Amino acid sequence: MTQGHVYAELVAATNYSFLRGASHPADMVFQAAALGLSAIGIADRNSVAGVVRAWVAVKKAKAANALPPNFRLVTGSRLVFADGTPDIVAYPKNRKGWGRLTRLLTVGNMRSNKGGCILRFDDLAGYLEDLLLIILPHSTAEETNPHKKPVEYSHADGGEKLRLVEDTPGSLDEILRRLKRLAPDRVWLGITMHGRGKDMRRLEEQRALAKQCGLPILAANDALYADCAARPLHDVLTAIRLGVSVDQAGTRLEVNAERYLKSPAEMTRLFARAPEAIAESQKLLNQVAFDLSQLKYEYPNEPVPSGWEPQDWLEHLVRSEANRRHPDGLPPKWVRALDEEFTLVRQKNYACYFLTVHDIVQFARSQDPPILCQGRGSAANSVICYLLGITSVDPVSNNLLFSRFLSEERDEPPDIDVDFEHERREEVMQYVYRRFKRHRAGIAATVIHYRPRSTVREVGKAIGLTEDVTARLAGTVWGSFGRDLPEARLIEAGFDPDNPQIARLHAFVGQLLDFPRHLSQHVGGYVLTENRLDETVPIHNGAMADRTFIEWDKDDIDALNLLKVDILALGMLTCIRKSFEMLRQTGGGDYTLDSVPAEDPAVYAMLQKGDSIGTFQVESRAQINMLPRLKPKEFYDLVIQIAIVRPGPIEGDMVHPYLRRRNGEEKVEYPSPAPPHDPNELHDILYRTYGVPLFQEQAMKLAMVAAAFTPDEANGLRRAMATFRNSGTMPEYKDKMINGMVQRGYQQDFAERCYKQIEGFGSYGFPESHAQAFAHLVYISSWLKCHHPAIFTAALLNSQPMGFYAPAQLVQDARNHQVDVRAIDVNFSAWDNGIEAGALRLGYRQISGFHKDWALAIEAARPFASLEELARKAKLPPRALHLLADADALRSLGLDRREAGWEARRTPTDELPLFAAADARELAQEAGIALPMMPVSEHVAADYQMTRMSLKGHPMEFLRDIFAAEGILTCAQTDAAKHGTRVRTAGVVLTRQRPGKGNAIFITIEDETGVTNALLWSRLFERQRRAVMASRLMVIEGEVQRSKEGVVHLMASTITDRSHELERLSHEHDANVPLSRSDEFAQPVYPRHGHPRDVRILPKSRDFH
Amino acid sequence: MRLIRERIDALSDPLDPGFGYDLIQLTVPTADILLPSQAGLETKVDRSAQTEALIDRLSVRLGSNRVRYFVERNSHIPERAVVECAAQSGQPQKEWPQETEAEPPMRPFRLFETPQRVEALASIPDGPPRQFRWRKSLHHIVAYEGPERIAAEWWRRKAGHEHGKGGPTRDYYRVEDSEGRRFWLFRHGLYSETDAPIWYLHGLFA
Repeated sequence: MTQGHVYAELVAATNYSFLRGASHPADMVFQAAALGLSAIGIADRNSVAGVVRAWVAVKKAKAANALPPNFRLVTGSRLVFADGTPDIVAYPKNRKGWGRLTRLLTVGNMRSNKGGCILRFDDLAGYLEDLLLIILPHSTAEETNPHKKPVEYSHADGGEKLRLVEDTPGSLDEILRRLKRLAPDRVWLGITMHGRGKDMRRLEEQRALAKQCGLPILAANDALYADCAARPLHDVLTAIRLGVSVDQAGTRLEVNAERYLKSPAEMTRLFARAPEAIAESQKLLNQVAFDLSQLKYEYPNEPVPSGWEPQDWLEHLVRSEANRRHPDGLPPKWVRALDEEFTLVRQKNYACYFLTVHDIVQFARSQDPPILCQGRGSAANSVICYLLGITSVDPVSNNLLFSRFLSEERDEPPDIDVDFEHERREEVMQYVYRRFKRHRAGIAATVIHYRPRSTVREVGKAIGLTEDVTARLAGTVWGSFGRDLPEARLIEAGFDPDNPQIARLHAFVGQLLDFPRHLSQHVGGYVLTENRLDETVPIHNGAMADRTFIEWDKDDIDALNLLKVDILALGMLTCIRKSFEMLRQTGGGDYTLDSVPAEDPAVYAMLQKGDSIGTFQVESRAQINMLPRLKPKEFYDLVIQIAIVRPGPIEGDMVHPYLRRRNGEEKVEYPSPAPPHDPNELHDILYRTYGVPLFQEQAMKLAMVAAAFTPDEANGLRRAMATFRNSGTMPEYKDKMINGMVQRGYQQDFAERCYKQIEGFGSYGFPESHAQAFAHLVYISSWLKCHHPAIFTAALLNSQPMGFYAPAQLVQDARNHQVDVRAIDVNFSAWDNGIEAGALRLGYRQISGFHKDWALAIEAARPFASLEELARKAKLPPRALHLLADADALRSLGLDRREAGWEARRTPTDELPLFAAADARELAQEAGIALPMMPVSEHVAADYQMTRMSLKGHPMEFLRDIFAAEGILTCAQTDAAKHGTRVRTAGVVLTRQRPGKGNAIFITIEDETGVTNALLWSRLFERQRRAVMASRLMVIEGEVQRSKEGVVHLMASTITDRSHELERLSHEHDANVPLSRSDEFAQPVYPRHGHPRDVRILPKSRDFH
Repeated sequence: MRLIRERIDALSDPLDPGFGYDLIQLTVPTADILLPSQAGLETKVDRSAQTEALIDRLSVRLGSNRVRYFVERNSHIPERAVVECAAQSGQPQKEWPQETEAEPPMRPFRLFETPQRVEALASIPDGPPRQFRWRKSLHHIVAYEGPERIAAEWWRRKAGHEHGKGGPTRDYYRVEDSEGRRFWLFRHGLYSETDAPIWYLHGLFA
């Protein structure tokens, strides 16, 4: 069908031209190849964000022989100018050209707000060497806002030539002439035939114009989507972009469906009168010698002192530290480990990478006070990282596998992730910008995709549904798990899926899901380079001040072999630092991460009781349930504790066997292969976990040893395990692994369970090194909780938001541990929660809306005898007084909430100069007004409203009579009930979670006596979705189930929404008992595309600013 | 006052007052003060105010339903692109797109309310018509321009978002027959959408 016609489409956009392109990069590429185009040129609007994906698609398809061998992908960008210059598509001729293109885009990006790019013709003139330019005769620019406070960015590299400033050309004619002069032989006039009526006339005019200017014309279709069937979707995208509905968009939609990829024959027919324009596409193509594989990468050399080679410097640093730690000479095991690592690092030339991370960690440690940090993830496998102080786990004595971090066979960069205190990470990030300069350092991007909720809302609007309809629909989309919008959801929300509008919505939502929506910055992955980073990838302004990020995300960076350092934020580190500080201040001792007394039996005794609220990682409900069963006795048990409550081991059904063996209820045995093989081959791998594989490394080694995988295959398996997006490749390994194991004489059943578990790791698994690193923090936080509960709680409250629980629950837990918690009071409190003679004094930061400078002013002006004195001495505005009164923080002045509210309203804050001079009381003593006493229930409601907790009581206390009359039990009564009893319990909702595959929903409710954990099977859930999702106070009816360790669960059957009862507490105040931060309904957790390590039990706890 | 005079003038005929009126009583149910506006020395005369005054006068004299104008609507489909309505209906009138100089108009001023079905001969798949028969007479086409391809508004159809159900696409051609008459024809449906597309005459160029 394509005989004789050779054509390459060189003006094609993907959906990375956000809301303009309507096809994924890979779809564009495959369609182009299927149509027989000789090449496709991907050029998105002022961006190269989508090209790596296209490039990866081509690379993979070529490797699988799914593409014609001579099919080419050329990558460039469509430059859209802000000054009226028509759009110009630019392709780099070579590597240098690519650098110019990305620098040009960076110039435009840095001028604009996040997501925009402001380019002028003059910018192009400065960077057009080695670029091939296709001028399109019109501009598609839209308004972009310039950045108000552009960061300091050095575009200059010293190599600039002096040139005249190019003003904006006034006409197409002038552009052609000027570019012809500036870039002879590298300029084309692109012509499209979109069925606009005057196509032929335009063609002739433009051909004549081009001829006059001595330029060739180029046939292009300016494709926006792969297939013409995408027109409705494209119209919807356009409507979303314009913020109107499709029928209002009218002429602003494309008039027809012609902007799809067309075959060479079709293009030849359309350009029958100008065959030279078709032929020109090949000529342009032949000039492009650039491919993304030419991007070579060099790590910065900064941290190396002059006169040293990076590798020597690294070895020097590491060896001197090793000798310091082992003054009597290194044990042979260490020598071997170091030699192995150094050889590999030298071979791979990664010394600079280690030194860079070391440099950043050094910076954090050298601050005053030092910023706590700790490496996580696979870096903990490396002795070098350990000795450089990046990680805290000793890999030698823990037998960790270096090859898990870096190996010879694996041609991919290692990955060092370091956690910093979440409140101070910004300091580290700004240091990186300062150290390496912004043109050499950038945060990786994260592509934000269309998700069910946003898609329903935006598509609904575009097809003209009213907001109440879309809100209702979006509301019932289960935040976390929906990757599509099943019809069942529609029916549930009360819509008929056969209704034409709803069917339409459904269809578009399905198509739009997983489209990229916009770029955002990665939580902390930095790409650092020796040479200019903006010659590899364009740099953008972030939405946050002083952040700049690159256009490519994690996957792109991996595909191009760029190295990345993850600078992550961890709330627990902040909390630990604050605890240490308070310990020092209160004379409790001077501790660091390394000097906390190890293996303290009291800590383990506490954990064995499941008493872990507030601690790191092991504080979730699932972990709390596991603790009494696993009964950790030593550090390694914590490592297992962290790793075992994960979907991997759970889905692989490894948990129960492990527990049984650990408790001595089952014989520890190691599955053995049939005779010719070593019967003990698994012992070495599995002995620390009683023969049950729990960690990612074990699963890998198992595949290698028991199923005889080659290192290559194991590596493939590991990749498949590590990444969500590759999970499609997992089944390939299934037969291989199971058959391999069975052939070598293992039980079919064991083999299948092993595979299941590996599959589970695919979604969320923990490598042992990572669990080790985290276990360290688990221990320290548990130690603090065990020995210094008041300080620990204060530090937790001062580090909010973080962790699993809301302040109310943390405070409640502290009180349960005999901590004396004192209310906020102007004469005693500080901004932070603090320690007052061993008791926890709440701070002003708990009052919603209170300002820190008010708090400081109060502290400086203390003490006060009256409200007026407070207002005058601390110079507080009325708002502050009202907040203090409402928060009931004036009791030491003899005022309760209601009296204080009255006083606050009559206290003038603008001091009259005369009174100030006299320093006299401004208000005359007034006869006390007899205000009616405020009932406690109202106090509690007001406390919750103001400070999200109350020390005076629990809302449920005041409703107890009502519920007791109905025969509804307290949580404590439920907890004490016999196994199998049917009970009803009421409480305010703390968390609702739907982990793993979503078979069950865990609900935790709380009343004045404690908490009850309920489990609701999903089949029961579907029927009472509304009650579960909407309740703030619920009554749960179900059967008590008591495990042999004494853990009580309520197996829920009916849930009733009784939220309205809360209104009885107060007419004025809304007793909004805050949900715990782990609640998934209020805070949906989207499955992340990423490394399992990134997926945390704590939703959204990584990045607070 | 000026408008009232118009009204009285318009009334004169059917009422035939013979010797004239002794008294005409005007009732003013509500009255607003019309403040005189000062024209600046250099401000230009407000053209639109003049047009509005003319529309008011004509509407009073001829009846408000009889003075009409075209309002542009936001659609690619020619028959939906403009709507005729009473000039006093308050529909805002947008600026009409300015025709580029030296370029013929792309659409005729006169459209048929219902496009006229014609028999046409054209090359496959999307070539221009060669000749067509309209109201029994055969027109040989000597010059054409096009196609201007206008896709249907899929959102007006029940399952329009599904591929192929969005409605037939139109290919418009401006053509001139051997006697110099100019027509606006369209093919209703691409060959990928239908086997035998029907041709329509949608308008005549002046």
